[in-house]
This record gives sequence, structure tokens and C-alpha cells, in this order.
Amino acid sequence: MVYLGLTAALAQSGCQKSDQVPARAPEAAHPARPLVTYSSDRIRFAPTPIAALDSIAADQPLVKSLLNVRSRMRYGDYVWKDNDVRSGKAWILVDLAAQTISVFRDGEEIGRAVTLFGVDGHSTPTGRFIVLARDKHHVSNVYDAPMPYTLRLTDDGISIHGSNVRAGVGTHGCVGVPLKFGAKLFDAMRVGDEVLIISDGNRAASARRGARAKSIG
Amino acid sequence: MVMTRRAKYASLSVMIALTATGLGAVVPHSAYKALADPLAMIRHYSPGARTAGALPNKFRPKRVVVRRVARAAPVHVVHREVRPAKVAMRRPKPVSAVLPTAIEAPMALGPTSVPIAAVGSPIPAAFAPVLASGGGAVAGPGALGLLAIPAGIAIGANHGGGGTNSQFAPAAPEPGTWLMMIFGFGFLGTTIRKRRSALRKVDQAGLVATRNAASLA
Repeated sequence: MVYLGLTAALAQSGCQKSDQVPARAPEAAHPARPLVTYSSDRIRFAPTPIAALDSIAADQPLVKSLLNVRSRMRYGDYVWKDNDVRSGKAWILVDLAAQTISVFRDGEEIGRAVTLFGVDGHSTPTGRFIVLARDKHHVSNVYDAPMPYTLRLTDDGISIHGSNVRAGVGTHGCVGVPLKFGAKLFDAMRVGDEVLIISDGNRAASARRGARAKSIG
Repeated sequence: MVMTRRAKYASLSVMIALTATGLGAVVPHSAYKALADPLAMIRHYSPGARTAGALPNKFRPKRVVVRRVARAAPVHVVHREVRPAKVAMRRPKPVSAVLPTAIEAPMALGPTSVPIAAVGSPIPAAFAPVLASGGGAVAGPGALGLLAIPAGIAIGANHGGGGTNSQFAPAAPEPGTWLMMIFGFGFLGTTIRKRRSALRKVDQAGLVATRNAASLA
């Protein structure tokens, strides 16, 4: 099946090597089964929307490729590959249900990591957020703890920052990422960039939060 | 179909190359199907939903090296006698003995102090009221030795004229007090001794007298 897709993609792109020229499928329609090309780093396919983001972001960017993560990610794992992606505005997709954070640029995923998020009673808000501030050496005055590579999302302090990502722990509402991933993320993101946080559990809450975030942003 | 050795090696190397570059059967069938939604692909390789009961994570990027202070060897004090600190008693300057005693003592203490002051004894003026107050109606220089004991132990000179500053007397008497006590006891001893010997002489004289009378009779 995989080879079938590969050959189809190669045929589509004129039998060129998939590593050098990514297969650009026609962007007019989203086929039910997108044409897929695999490389060692990346899985490319026709630009596809993410269904879960429909309620959050009206003009959500399409996704053209994902990183080729070949095994199930574990706590502390991260992948980063952005030297084959054009520069531009990046955006973040945080999936609380899967404990992952994905960074996209120009429709292509440039990084993915396992995250920590808020524990019960300090739940991470979901919705659409804007990076309000960046602080490389942030130290929380609420929790008296260093939070390096902070990307601040809300006025009340919810942010994405470097953390010790391991099993069995959560945060007070922030999104914790591995420290090295946090450094790369910090360099990739600018103030004003978009962060979309989704969760399976509370769609109503996410819609509500999304509305509020939109009013802020 | 019988493969030649060269064909075997060639096919093997192709398989290895495919595996190494990620072009082979790396993505399972389910993930390929999930590509209709990129989020499903991300979730497929995620650690999945977090288990319940996560606790907040307090992040410390650098281990704070706490330098251990070398502790002194433990001193085993089993029973250490706690002695009260020595109170430095301020000795009043030797005033001419007539001044305090002559004015105060007669009013407060009655006739006993009069002979002391009048005698102009070598006892410091500060002790004079104390001695006198303990003394009451007992008169005579012979009583001074006994009376010196309360002066050394308790009842400070608060009610006396120009006494010490302390509210209590130290447990250990001062050398002067000791000296006074010793002299007093000695004086007492000699007095008693003299008195007894005198009585004995009287008794003997009486006996002799009676014996003489008897012999005469």
C-alpha cells in the first residue's frame, strides 16, 4: 500500500526524486485519499485542513507535510527539522488529548514534541491564542520557578515554556516542552504568531475560550 | 527462481537502503489511512492521553549545588551543670560609714544599727543595713558572724542605702562575705569555748567549794 502511494506520488511529480523536490499536489480540492510521498524526514501530501480546528480558527492554515516520526513518541522526545522549509510565519498546534505540540511553517511541520499541560484544577485553556511576549530567561513570580524560553499566551500567565517533560506530572496551566525543543521553538516564534490549543474533552469550553481569545487577539 | 549471489546482495542492499532512508514500510497502514486528517497522524505517534492523577511539575533547569558545611563533631553533653552567669556586682565606693547608716538605719531598723555605725566597724557600708535588718534586736559584735549568712545569699540591698544594682544575690558568696562568715564563726566558736571553759571553771569551783564544805562539814 505504501509503495502504491509512493509510486503514485512519483508518477504525479514526473518521476523526480522525492527528496529533492517535494510533490506539489494540486491545491484545488482535498482528495479523500491524498497523494503521499515519504522521505526520511517528512511525509508530504496534498494541503489538508485539520478538522478539529474548524471551530477555533476560521481561516486555518492548511497542512502540507508532517515530520516522519517513525515510532511512538515518549515523554521528553522531540523532533525538529526546519532547514528544508521556507521561512515565514510559524504557528503552533497543541493537542492536549495526545500531549503533543506541533510547529508549522509554510504548511509544513518543522517540530513536534511531547508536552506537559495543566493538571486538574489548573487546566490549560483551549482555543486560539496569540504570542503576547517572549522571554528567554523568564522566572515565574507566582511559582518562584525558572521558566526558560517562555512564549506568553494570556494576560494571566499561561505560556509555553521549557520544562522537564516526564511521566506523571503536569503544570499549573502552562504548556511545558522539552528544554532544547523550547529553545528552537523560541527562535522560530515571534510575537503575534498564532497558537491553537485543542483538546478532545471539552468542545464547549474550547469554543468559549476561543471566542474570548479572539476578542483578545 | 534461483537468485545468484550478486542478485541476493543487490536486493539486500536495496532493502537496507530503503529502510535507512525511511522509504520502506515505516508508516503502518492505519497511519496511512489517517492521513485524511493530519491530526490523526500526529495522534497516532503520540504517547496518547495522559493518565489521571498527574501532579504539578516544578521545573529546575540547573541543579542548585548546595555546598555542605563541614559540621563540627557532635559534642555529647550528658549532664552539663547549668550555672547562672556571674553577675558583676558593682561595689559602691566606700563612703564614710557614718553617712548612710547614721541617717537610714535608725529610722528603719531601730537601735541595733546604732552601735554598728557608732562603732565604725570595718564592714562596708552597703552591708550594714542588710546585716542590721536580719539582726533585729540581737545586738553585739558577736552576732555579726551569723548575720552575715543572709547577706551573702539573698535579699539584696534594694531596701538598703546605696546597695547593688542586682535584684538577687549570687549563689556563691563573695570573698569578703566568706571572710566575714569565717571570722564570725571563729568568733562564735571562741566565745562559746570561753564561756564553756568559764562555766566549767565555775562548776569546778562550785564542786570544789561544795567538796570543801563537805569536807569541812
